[in-house]
Amino acid sequence: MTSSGATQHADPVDGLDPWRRFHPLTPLLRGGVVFVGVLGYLVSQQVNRIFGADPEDPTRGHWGLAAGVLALVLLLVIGGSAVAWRASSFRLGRTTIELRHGVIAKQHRQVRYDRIQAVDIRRPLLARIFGLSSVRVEAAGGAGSNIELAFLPAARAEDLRAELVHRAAGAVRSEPSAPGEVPTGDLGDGGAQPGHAVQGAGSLSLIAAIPAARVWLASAMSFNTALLAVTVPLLLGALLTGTFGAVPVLGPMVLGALGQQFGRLSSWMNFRVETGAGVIRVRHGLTELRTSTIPLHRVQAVEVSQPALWRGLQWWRIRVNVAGVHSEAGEGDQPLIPVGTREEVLAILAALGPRWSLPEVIEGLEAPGPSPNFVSVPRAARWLDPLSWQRGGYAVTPELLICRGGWLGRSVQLVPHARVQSLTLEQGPLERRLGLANVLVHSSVGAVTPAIRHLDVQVATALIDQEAQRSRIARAAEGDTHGTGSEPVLPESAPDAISSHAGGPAIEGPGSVIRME
Amino acid sequence: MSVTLFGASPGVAWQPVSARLALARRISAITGALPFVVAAAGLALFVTRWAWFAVAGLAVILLLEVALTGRQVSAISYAELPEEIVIRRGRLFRRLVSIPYGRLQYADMGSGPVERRLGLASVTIHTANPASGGTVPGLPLPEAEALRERLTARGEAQRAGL
Repeated sequence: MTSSGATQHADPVDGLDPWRRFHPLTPLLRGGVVFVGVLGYLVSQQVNRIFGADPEDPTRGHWGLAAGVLALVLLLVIGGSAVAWRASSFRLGRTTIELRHGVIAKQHRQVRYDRIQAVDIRRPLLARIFGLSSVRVEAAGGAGSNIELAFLPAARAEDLRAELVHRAAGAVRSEPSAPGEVPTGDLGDGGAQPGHAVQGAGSLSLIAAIPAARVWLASAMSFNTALLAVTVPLLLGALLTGTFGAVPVLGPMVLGALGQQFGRLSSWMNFRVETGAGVIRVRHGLTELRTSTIPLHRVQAVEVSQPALWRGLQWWRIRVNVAGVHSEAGEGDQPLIPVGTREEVLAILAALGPRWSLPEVIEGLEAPGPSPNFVSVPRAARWLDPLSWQRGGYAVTPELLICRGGWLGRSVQLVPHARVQSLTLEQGPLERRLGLANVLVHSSVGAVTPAIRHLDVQVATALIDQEAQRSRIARAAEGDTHGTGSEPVLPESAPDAISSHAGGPAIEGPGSVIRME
Repeated sequence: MSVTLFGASPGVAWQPVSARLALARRISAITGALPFVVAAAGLALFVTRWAWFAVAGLAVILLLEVALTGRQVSAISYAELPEEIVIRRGRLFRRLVSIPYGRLQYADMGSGPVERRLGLASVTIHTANPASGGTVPGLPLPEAEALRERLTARGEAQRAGL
């Protein structure tokens, strides 16, 4: 390899790609610094206690010994992480990416290329200083099936990401004819080669970039700010007048709101949305630059929404559900664009594909009340939703179910019929009195939870029935066109996913095999 | 054929769950509340007489729960349609969930200690989204076993047809 840090050694057993190691600084960046510091401190404390030194002067008499023990521990930690570093490596196989690590309990994890949902690059602050990145591979099948390749030199991480995206796309395309085979053009050419594998990376075009001023204004136009505007003077007043009883209540509120505000700022800064070659790529972050790449065919549902305070500014937010990307630590809730102008939002919808950018969507977004293509909710709904009942409703297009709603803000949720997981109809006592019911449309796990509230109960019941039928027909049609490769099937419905599920409870994800050696 | 939120629906054979589920739930509710009632009664006898209010409150809640359980259980029903399973529950807050067999990832059988004594089990349907599944509680054991097998078989058949 061209990069300095990543060494390689050939695996004598099979003549596939060589196993590759991570950058030698990896253990240090994976929290080693903190670990060594804490351990050193603890050990020095222990030494002092054991040998009865004066706690007021911890080093008295035993300074040399303490230093010796500390050095020994350091040596052990360094030695240990060196061994662990030596034991962890990855390689790009024919149909899977493999990661092995562990010295005593060895783990070997594989993710099939056709199960890859998204490939992200992360650059935490410390890693950025050393010019390193980690590559995170999200696979279908939940938290246990993701793998993180950390750390690699930034350029190599970029190449690896491109190569993985390329192989994932190839594997999905070729799945029907030759399950799991990578197109022959990519076979056996040694994995990530710069220049060769940058499909998708070079042909991306920018469709939206959020200027810093908009980030500031948009995050200022939130209820959080209103909360701060009320609580900060109150807190200051309480501190100045000496009414400290209010501090335990107000303090956490202020801190929480400030924290959220800062989180938004740091996550929304430098936000860029790019598109090309069947993917949308999002880069963002103030301290930690994050890149996530979303293959378009993995998008399960889309929501375009507008918080109440942005109405005058005509700014919108787009969120998507992506198969396999679950909200671990809130990751899945990362919007496609947190605050975009009307033009940017329409450009992103267009980039998502023709199925998502329909005139009905714009109608759903902008119409203030009942509109021609939407089935509205009855007047009775005004008792439960006095401010915005007129916006409630749904529309059906050949491919999409469009749910419209919002209370003070506005929102439109789009779910393809073929991506509906299941349907729920629910009704509380008040709704029964008014002859209303809610329809919940379950998509995959994610930030978007489509629902149509306060429909007439007859209409809602009919919708459940018809949508179940439409969903069935759409799935069947997709199954038919699958062979032509126009629309790859989902991992959870892919035929070969069955074998891994048949018989028993699927604890492991369909995409990964974890075995102990 | 169309399902409705409550009552009979044309062309749909709604299956009730076992009435013994009500017994199981009542036993669970009473055994669950018993320690608290005893503790409150102990408090009332030895510490303060005001704790009798707590005993009375707990007793009322428990009585209500026991009284309503029958109606709750009789409101639970399910129907196996050609393409999906539909589960309904609730009288005050009604809920109907319709899960296509093709979306089934796997089906679980579970049974609590009281249910097991009464020969009951529940079948839980898992899809790709934890929020979109459903549970059929209180089935006699052989019936639950059979339902789970039917669901698994249909799940595979209809998914294979994709």
